[in-house]
Amino acid sequence: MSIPFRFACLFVWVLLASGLQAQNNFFRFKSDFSIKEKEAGKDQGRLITGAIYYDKNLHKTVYNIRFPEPEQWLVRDTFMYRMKADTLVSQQMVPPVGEFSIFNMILSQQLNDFGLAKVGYTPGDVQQDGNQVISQWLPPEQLKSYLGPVSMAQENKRIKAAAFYDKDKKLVSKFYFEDYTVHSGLPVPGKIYQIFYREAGEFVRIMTLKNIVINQADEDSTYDFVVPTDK
Amino acid sequence: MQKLLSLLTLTLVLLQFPESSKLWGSSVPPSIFHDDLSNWDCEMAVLTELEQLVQEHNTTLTQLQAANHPLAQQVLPIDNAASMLFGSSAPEHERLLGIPGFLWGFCCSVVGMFLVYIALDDPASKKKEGRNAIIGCAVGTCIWVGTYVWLMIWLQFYG
Repeated sequence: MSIPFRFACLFVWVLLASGLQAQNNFFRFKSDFSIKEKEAGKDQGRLITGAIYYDKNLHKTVYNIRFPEPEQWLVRDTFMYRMKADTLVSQQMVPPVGEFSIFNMILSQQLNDFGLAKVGYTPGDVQQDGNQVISQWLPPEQLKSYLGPVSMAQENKRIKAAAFYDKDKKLVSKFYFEDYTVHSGLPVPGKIYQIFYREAGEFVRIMTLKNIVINQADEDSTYDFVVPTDK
Repeated sequence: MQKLLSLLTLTLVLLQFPESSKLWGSSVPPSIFHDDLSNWDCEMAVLTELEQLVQEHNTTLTQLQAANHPLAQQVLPIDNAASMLFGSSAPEHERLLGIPGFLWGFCCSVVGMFLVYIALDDPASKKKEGRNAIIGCAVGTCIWVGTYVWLMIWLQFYG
């Protein structure tokens, strides 16, 4: 093999490697969002609108809320700080859902299997239903007495829906992912439906994401906020 | 360790609402994902109208309430922001006046338990909050009895 050919191969390899690296290096997510929720059949519901900033490396999330009232919710690890006009008004413990937040799954490109493979779920039955591939995921053996299976529908290699069951295979909740758009090569659902099934009736939550920015280079002080109690 | 934490988190997230309908046995029926999403959009029609209003006029709930806007009456207060934000966690169970059942039982004893049982409509909440009220009542009663016994003994020796 001639030396120029070896150099050319090396150059192509470096290009491919850096391309792959760039593709896997999504770490910031910014978007306008709204969350609507209500119990089916009831008149009243809840609405939140605002903008969300998430930095995967810093494990920090900022919600700049516009409605119902302007305020800022800062989340780091398992603490959420509620700020009004730069003043800390309350803080509360939140579930450690970091890895399972929708934003983390989008950036980590784990939305397709909901991050289940990473935590030990194993794929089971697979069926074709029109354009959709329906797969069943089984919980790890040691957790079968606590967790139930999860079924997922994929279309064009993108998740379209997921159903979660309890250990008795009773339906607990469903997700639907709609209105996908691609940003910096990342497919992002624009609308997520979540339905909880209860004896008292269905509880529905719809989240919309708009004006999505991936790997934003500025607004560092927002992404890397100072925890109010550390000030 | 991280995997264990992830599993624990997932367990917490998924172990919500054990009361639900049994849908399938050994394999998943494909029809499970054939819901008509427009039904839920219709459910949210009023909130969507409100969302558009907020987007166009950059208004707050306080301003809408001050203007006596009809849509402002369709909005419930946000009592658990975390539940709404993280999506994966289920909404809170119903509570009597937003106060935990344990406190009702602890502070109001049998009357608190009774109030929790008759005031809550949701069977799941009634069961959960009622159980907490019983525990609260038992703990409260033990503390009262303990204090009474201690006081009697103290009075016997030092009174």
